[in-house]
Amino acid sequence: MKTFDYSALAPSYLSILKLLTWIWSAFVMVPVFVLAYFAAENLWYHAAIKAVSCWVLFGVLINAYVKAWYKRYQYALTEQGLVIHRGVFWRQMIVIPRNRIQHTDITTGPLERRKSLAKLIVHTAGTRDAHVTLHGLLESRAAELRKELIVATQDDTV
Amino acid sequence: MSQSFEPHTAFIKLHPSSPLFIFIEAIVKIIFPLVVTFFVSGSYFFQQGWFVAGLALFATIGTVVQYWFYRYWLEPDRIVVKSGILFKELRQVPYERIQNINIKSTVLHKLFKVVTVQIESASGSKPEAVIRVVGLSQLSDIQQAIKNNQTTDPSSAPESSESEQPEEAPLFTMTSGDITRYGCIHWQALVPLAAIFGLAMQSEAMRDQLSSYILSMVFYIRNFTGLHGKLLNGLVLVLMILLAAWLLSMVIAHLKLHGFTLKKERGKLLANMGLLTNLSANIPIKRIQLLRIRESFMHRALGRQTLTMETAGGVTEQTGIVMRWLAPLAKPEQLPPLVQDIEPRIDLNQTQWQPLSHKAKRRLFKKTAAILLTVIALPTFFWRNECAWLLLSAPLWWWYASAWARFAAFAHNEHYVAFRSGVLFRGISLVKINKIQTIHLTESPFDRRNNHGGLWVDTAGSNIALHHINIPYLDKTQLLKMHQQLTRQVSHSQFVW
Repeated sequence: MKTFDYSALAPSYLSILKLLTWIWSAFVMVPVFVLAYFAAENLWYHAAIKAVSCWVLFGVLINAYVKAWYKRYQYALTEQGLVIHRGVFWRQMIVIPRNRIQHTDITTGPLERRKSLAKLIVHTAGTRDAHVTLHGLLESRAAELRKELIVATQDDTV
Repeated sequence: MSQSFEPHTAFIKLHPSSPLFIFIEAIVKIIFPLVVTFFVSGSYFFQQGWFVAGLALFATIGTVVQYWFYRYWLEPDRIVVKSGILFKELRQVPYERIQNINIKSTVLHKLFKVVTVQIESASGSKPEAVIRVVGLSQLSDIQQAIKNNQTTDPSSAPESSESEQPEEAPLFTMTSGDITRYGCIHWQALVPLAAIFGLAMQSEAMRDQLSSYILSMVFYIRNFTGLHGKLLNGLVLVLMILLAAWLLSMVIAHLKLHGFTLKKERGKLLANMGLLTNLSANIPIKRIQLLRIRESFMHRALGRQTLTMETAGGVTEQTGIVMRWLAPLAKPEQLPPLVQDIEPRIDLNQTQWQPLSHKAKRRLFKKTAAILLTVIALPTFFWRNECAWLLLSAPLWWWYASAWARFAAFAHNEHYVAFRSGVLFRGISLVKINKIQTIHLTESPFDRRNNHGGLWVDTAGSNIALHHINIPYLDKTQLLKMHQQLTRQVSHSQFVW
């Protein structure tokens, strides 16, 4: 039975997260721009300055949070099962015992594929944890984990 | 695949009275909400006669078509259900995967000597099959087929053989006194009453009608009471409505729970209840994921508790027939033997409850105070300063925190984990180790300050809105030790759905 100690997510995943943060926060700024446009008596450049400065401030804050989140996110494979630590303010440690895993999926998005990343989705029979996602794994690590988790010697009698 | 569309054995069609039942179901599920929409919004479409007629025609044709194309057959190891005309569906449910079989029979069913059968597996939020409706001989064929196959399942043997009851001796029956008490506690008549009231409030005409009706009632009452003042007579009216709802609730309870019996047979629980509408459910004991005892302040006043269970599979009251009761109402001393009959390894009398952290009371008080202070501050600032008088309830907050901390406790041994909590509505949840799916440790910023943490476990088919195993305010050292032990236990136990 293969085990490994706590590891962090792939560093390239952090850069994807940061990029995505800037993109979605820009979308959030669209209504801000519209509001600012009417508040600034239809002067578009005033509104644009306000929206862009809001975007930068918001983006920097969210990025700091994302960085802290990434730093705290760790996973390990023990003899008992998959252990995940996550959360910045409200922290969690999730243990998914090997013999409770029903099946696993590996999926990759277009951005993740460019950086050879993948995410592993572990399905259990639970309700809130019907599927637990492990983001930002290197493809090789995801495949290795999946192979290791799937050979659980469970004799299921559903 | 095309091969399997053909039955291996002769297929069985539904009972000829089926369209009637399917039609009633359609009325309840589709047409009733539409009519409600009409009353609320007064939609243009409904003012056109052709729309209503078209809808009725559509529903009638739909039910007949559904009846015509619905067939099922019993194969040696599975039940196969085929339905649909444009979108055909063939569903195969192996007998050993079947979690529950619920059988419903209303007065109308009895008239035609038929039943509605609902078959549930562990997956999805809908039943695997609802056979609406079949004759009694077909029902016994289905039951026999399932029975024959499930008893050959070796994994059910060890659990069921431990305390085999002689057949026909019920584990639990409900006295009619307890059924009346159940109605007393649950106020079920208030739900439709509130719904009617809420509906009437939606449309202006109905609101006016209702308020004038209420006013006339108030005047009518004044003639009897001889009291002056609208408010006083209004209060009498409210009391009368509540009394009527209360009495009606008791009647509803009798209709629903009449003759509630729970039997154990070959590792399965058979529950039967109902006066006009008879519901019988069949639940394999090994499929029970969580046991829950509930006790509200009303329960306590009458010296009773409720025992319910959770099974895998997420059928809710909206999607099918649900059976969650083991004992709708029982004396507290009746429950430990009942639980032990169902799960021989759970002995509630021997459970060693351990308290939470000694700081739990203070922490809960702070949390309650923070929330309530915000709730009080908002109307005080934005509306009226008098709202600040609500601050006088602070001793009540302290009482609540003390009462909560006094009762809250957890238990953990080699067979199960349990947690109890609550003040006005108390709950005790029990989960066997082999039913635990995942284990979570949680830590909020406040937990970190106090060197605390929380633990919750996930089970199949759990309803997070209800009481479950979610233990807060545990001392870190105790928590980590428990977590380590629990992880080891869970990973060494085999999960059986």
